[in-house]
Amino acid sequence: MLLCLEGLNKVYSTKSTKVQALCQVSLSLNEGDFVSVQGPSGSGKSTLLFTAGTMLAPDSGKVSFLGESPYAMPANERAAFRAKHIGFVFQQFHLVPYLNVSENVQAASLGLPASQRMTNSKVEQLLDQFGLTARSRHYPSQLSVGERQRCCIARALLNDPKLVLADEPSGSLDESNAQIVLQELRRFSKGGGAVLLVTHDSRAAQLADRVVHMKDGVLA
Amino acid sequence: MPNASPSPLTLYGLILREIRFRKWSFLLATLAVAAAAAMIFGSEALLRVDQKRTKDFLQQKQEETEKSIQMHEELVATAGAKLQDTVRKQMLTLGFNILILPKDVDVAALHLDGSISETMPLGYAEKLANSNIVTVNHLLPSVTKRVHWTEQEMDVVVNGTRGEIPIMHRALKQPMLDAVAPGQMVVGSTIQQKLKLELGQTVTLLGRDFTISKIQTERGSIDDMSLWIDLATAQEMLGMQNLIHAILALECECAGDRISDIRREIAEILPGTQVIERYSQALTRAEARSESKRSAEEALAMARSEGKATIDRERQRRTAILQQQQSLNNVLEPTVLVLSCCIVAALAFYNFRQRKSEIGLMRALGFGSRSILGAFLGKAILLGALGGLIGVAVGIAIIATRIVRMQPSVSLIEIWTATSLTSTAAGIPVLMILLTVVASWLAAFQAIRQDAAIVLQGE
Repeated sequence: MLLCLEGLNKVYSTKSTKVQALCQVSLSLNEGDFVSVQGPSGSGKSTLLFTAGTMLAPDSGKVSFLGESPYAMPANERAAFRAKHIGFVFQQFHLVPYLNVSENVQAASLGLPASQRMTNSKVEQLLDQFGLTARSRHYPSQLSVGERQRCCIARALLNDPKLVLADEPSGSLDESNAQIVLQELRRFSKGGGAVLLVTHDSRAAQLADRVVHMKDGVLA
Repeated sequence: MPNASPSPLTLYGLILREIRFRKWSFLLATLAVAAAAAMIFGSEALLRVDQKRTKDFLQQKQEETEKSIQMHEELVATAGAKLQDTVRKQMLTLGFNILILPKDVDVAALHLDGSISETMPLGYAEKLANSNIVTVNHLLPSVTKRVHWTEQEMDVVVNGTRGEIPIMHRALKQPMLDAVAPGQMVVGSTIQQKLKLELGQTVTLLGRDFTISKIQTERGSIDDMSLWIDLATAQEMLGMQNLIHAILALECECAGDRISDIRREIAEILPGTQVIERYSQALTRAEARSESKRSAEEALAMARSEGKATIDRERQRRTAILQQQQSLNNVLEPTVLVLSCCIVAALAFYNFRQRKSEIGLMRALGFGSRSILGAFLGKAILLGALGGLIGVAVGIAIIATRIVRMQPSVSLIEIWTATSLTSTAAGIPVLMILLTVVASWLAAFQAIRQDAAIVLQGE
């Protein structure tokens, strides 16, 4: 099993309120899985995504990735673990504004030790795969939203991750670009990687192997 | 667009690209650091330049004073030599007057009542005259005895004297004293007054008649109660044939401090005698010379003291100015540093706020705290180094301008070497790096502490 989430709980507390973002959430993903999590805004989907992505420790419950407990690791070790095994795709892309397309893709390997960093040929291959070769020297502000998201997916795939976590990847895209992005994710899962997709988009659900629903922090 | 091969991206490249992207805020921060560096380097360098100028000025003053004192010393030495020569010549003219007495004569008694108890052979005068003595020019043998002048019922001192004994190995000189001719008498002033004696009057002394040939002016000494008659007559009257009491030696050719040489020479020729100085003119001259020397030395000491005081006053004045400058620097430098630190800290914090999502992304991409810290502090190091170097360059320009204005003859390199500015110039960029690292620390710390998941969700 690639990822195993068991009985996760997460509460966001403010002075006056408490929000139960995750409530006894359990989910498992194997290699090649394409799982779509659907639910209304504020249902805890993104919290689940970041918790699975080893970026947000749950209040309780167990996260196991490739048989290891990432939250038991020291922060820097967990960061390196994340860089090696997990790729992120965001709705808002989060491209670095001062890096061009090629550099934005390369940036993903900066989290790895120098000896494990991906070669330039890998970057070029991804740029070619996502139709960004001609745009490699362009900056994010010079790209269309579709190109930005493709750049974002290329970056997520650079380190050959086991798992891609995608938060509304098609939310800002038009029909054709959304299709391209979802097809690429599908292709990644078919290649042996796992995809955990958080979305409102019903088209994503059609491509997923499994669709789970979430409401008020509870996974149905 | 050409399909160029992507160049490898590093953390350093990331920092440079971020600086280029947010160049205006970086430029503002650089200006703040450069201004601080220029001010610190400039004030420190100017202080050192002024310290050097003060040192040079005081050294020059010192040299001028020493030169002036040396010139004074040379003038005094020349004048002193001339004075000594003059005195020596005067001494040759005036000479010493010494009295050669039998060794056992009580000199105190001689001074008190003018009598001399011991005798020496008359031949001593001839012996001394015939010797090779070079220190004595004129020799006058005499007898001196206090007697009761029975005819006049009073005590007087009878001096028997004769003309000068010529010193044989030298040319004859004008006699220093006239001899008293046989049958004649020279009387002291007190005797003349008491007895109301007159020149040419005949008086009887111990049964012999004498004509008064001369009356001495008042001397205020035992001479006023003395009579002078021919030596041979006196010897006969006093029962001292071929005996004398003393030899008066006049015009001794010597400096004031050579009486010991005279004593030694005479003692070798006339054993059993003693020599006393009769008159103190030469000593007075010697004392005058010593006094002149002392006055000159005092004037020199005063000149030295005044020169030193002038230099001390100038040193104190300049030291006070330098201290004021140093005090100003002590306030100015920390103020500028703190101000610059605040500006850099504010800009770093602003930079952190701008980069929150970027930092969140870095976290998502697996950047560790060290890398994020490196991204912020690496930028701070570049900022400090660049600002420091620019500041030092501006500071050098300020110094060069000031030097050109104040000391056109001195080159910047001379001043630079003399004031050891290299270490300061090298140290200031290091100081600025420390400053920017400290100032950026809070922002960098915030960056590594922020919760990336929250930030990325918030976006």
